[in-house]
Amino acid sequence: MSLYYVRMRFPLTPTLSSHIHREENPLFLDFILTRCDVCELVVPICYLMYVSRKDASQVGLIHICTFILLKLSGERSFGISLNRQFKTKLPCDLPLFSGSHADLVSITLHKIMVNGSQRLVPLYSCFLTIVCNFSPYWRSMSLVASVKLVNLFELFSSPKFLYSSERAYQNLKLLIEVFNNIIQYQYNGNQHLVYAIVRRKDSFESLVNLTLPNAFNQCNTAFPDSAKNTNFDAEMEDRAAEVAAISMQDVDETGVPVTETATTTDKDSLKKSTGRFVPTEEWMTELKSTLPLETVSRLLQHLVPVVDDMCQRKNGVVDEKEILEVFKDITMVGLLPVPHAIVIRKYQPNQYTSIWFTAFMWGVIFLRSQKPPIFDGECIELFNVSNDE
Amino acid sequence: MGASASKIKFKESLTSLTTKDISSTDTEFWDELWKTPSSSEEVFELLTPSNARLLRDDKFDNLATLFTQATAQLCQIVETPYTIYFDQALNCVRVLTRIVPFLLEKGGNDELGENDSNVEMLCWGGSGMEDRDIDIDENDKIEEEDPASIDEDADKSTSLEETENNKNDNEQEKEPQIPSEIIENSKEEVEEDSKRKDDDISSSINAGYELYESGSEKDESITTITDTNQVEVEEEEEEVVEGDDTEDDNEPLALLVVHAAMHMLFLPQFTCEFYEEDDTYDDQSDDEQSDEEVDQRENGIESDEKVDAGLINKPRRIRKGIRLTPRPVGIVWAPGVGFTVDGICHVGSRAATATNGKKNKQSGAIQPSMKLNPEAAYTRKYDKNRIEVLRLLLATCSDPLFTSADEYNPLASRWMAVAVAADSPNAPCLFYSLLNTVISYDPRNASFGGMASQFTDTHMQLVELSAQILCVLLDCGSSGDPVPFENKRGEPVVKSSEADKVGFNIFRTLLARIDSGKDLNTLYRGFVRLLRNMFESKSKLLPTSQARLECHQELLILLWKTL
Repeated sequence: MSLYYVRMRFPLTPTLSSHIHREENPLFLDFILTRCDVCELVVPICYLMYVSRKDASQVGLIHICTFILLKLSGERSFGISLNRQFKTKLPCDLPLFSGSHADLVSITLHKIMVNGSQRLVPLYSCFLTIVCNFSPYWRSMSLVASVKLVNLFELFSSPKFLYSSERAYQNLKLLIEVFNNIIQYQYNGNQHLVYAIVRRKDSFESLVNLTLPNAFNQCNTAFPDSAKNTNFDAEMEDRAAEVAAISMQDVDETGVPVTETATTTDKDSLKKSTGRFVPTEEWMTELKSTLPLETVSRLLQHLVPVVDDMCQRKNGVVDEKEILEVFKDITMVGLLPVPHAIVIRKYQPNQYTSIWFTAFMWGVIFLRSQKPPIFDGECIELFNVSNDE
Repeated sequence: MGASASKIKFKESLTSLTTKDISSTDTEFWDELWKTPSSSEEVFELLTPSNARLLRDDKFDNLATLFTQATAQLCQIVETPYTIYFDQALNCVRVLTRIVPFLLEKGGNDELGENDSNVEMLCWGGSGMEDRDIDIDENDKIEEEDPASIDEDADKSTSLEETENNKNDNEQEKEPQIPSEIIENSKEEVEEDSKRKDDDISSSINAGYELYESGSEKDESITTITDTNQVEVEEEEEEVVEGDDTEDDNEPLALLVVHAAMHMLFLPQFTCEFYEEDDTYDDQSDDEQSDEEVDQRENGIESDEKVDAGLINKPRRIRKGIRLTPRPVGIVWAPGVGFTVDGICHVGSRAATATNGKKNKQSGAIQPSMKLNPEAAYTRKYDKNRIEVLRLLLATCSDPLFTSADEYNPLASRWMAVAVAADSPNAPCLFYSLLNTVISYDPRNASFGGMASQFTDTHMQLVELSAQILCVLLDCGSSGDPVPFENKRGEPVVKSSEADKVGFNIFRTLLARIDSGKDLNTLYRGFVRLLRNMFESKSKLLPTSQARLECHQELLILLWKTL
């Protein structure tokens, strides 16, 4: 119905500095997390994200849903609430699964990443941050969600993604943190994920064993010189994701801020490099030191022989259930590295996002006030109006 | 219905507006324009964007007259809400809704070109407005009914260039019954020699302005302008405007439009049921002179609800402040936050009951005003008018559309600053009306109270528009201070010093102060119910009696703002 199509531009330099952002109502968030069933809110949000994932004109909607989930996921009680069983039947082609609301969120976000609009690429780090934030409390991941998350790991470690830009491995880092959180804090009850990781051990191992010459070759195969620079976010106008990245503050479980080094480097990433990315020695070192692969490696070191052994004994015909049973009995205590501290990335309100919201809000109101057309698009400057969509 | 005839007439009037210079004293022309019945669709169809810009850029005097007269008529209807003039007032609302965004396009603060300074003068000219004041005649038709009734002939407005020196326009209305022909004649003389002092003019003046404000300081403002060259006047005025905010001597038209719209949202029998003014109560509280002497409540009566919500802060007492209670409560549009279904308001009632034990005498004053007639409560029969006025309010708040995102400053819009200021009329009522209209809407029983389907469609439109306006009103200024203060009567108030700050937004303050567990729960249930509608209305598994809301994005913005 809408004749117009609204595009948000993102300001790079905010003009005001005195504008202090506070929570509008200091009690509401805490109230809904402790006194209400927050899952009731999560379901419609996931539904909206899921059904609008391919629609380029709905990018703003996905953004705001993402921001809401991001904000909620910064709270410990949110992660705990998500363990509630998901039973609602949604009128969409969501993959069937039996599991919790945490599964619902992860499966929705996975689908958006593998089968959503290209304009959503900058939001990927936000999606993964959401999952990462609630993962330490995720008591039992469903089979479907486990497979999807490990698939995502394969996708993001594929040359096409990994070498798309200098900092593309940040997505991998978040995913590995999800796995680490679950292995370290929720090993019992998460055999599906463990099994999924064991089955894809090659992907993890090749990343662990990645060398610079290898990286160089893979990169050149994935992005031949002749091809145009296809940075995934090359022509993104929405800078919301980068903005969201700088909007994040790492805190530990009690809400105390952790070191800020990550934040400053994220800020630097706002300045986009236009040149084509080529892996370098420094990049390789940075990658190795950034990706926390040790927990998964230790897990594989211990479990792969166990599975191999089972297969040998049964002549290669092993029922999945048996393996899951065996995993349930194994304890990883003493085998894994000392557990890391839980880090939650909290959403930090800032001018970039508040201006984005204002522009988004007026975009919505503009589009929705067409009967009668209260506003004429011609002189609007807050966002681009084009009626050629 | 004769609708097409009136449409043709209206179209002709509009064509004249963009092609000829119409004198502001041409009563016949303006009369006909305002009296021709229209619909908002027609106004929007016939007054096209290009026409509106043409009017603004080439025939600014006509636009100024149109704007000034429409505003004056709104002020008038607020002052004297006679039902027979509602239709004409609605015409004015529609025309204003249409033209205001085109004024805002050029109303920015930067690069004041020729047109911009015109717009600036028209909207924010402050005292300059006095000079182009509207002289409204008492029309013969009206005088039969009531001399104090609406002056529907806002027939004369001098535009800037004509700067007439109506030195006597401060005089009180002398003879409202003057036959309009005489006034007509006298005006033509003025036209011929605008510098001439014309006594007849003064007698014809009794415009909405005088009724709206005291008009006492007019002499000064007019003498400053008398005999000055026009350009100088403009510059002078701009300085005044930039020096931030209106002196109270005479209000700029922009403020009058916004205030009139906010009044019109709670106009008896137009947008709400008839109500009795709660005068005695207001007077009592105004007796208190001293401001904000904070004394801690000695006797801490903690309400269960507050403990529920995890709020430890007890409200602090101050003598007086800007009250946040919706008053009168009977005119709030829907139950929900602060209001129960049977029309009882519990905003501030907690404190009131707490005080009861100690100071019995006050309880009597509070209790009656807390209730409203359940029969009349939350009626939907005024939805149509509410929608039209809300659209005007939305149009007046559209400033941000015309700044680029890089330059956007949430404190910059003067129009919005007026709408969210502490003294904006009926603000608490509007806040609860908008919020509750949205949050209490239940798509599952859309046919509320056995209403016919066209009513429910209209209501859905109101729900969506309310959500939009609420988003907009909560978007500007700075966030509200959640620290609770109350006056000696136990009503929630905000400190005057806080309310005077730049960026104060009464709507954000009201949102920040929602603190009872009951209200927070109402809010949350509302969000969940409305957002679930997105899939429940589509689901084939449920009996499909659910109306389908389209405003999920607005709801998400509101949710985001509340989180």
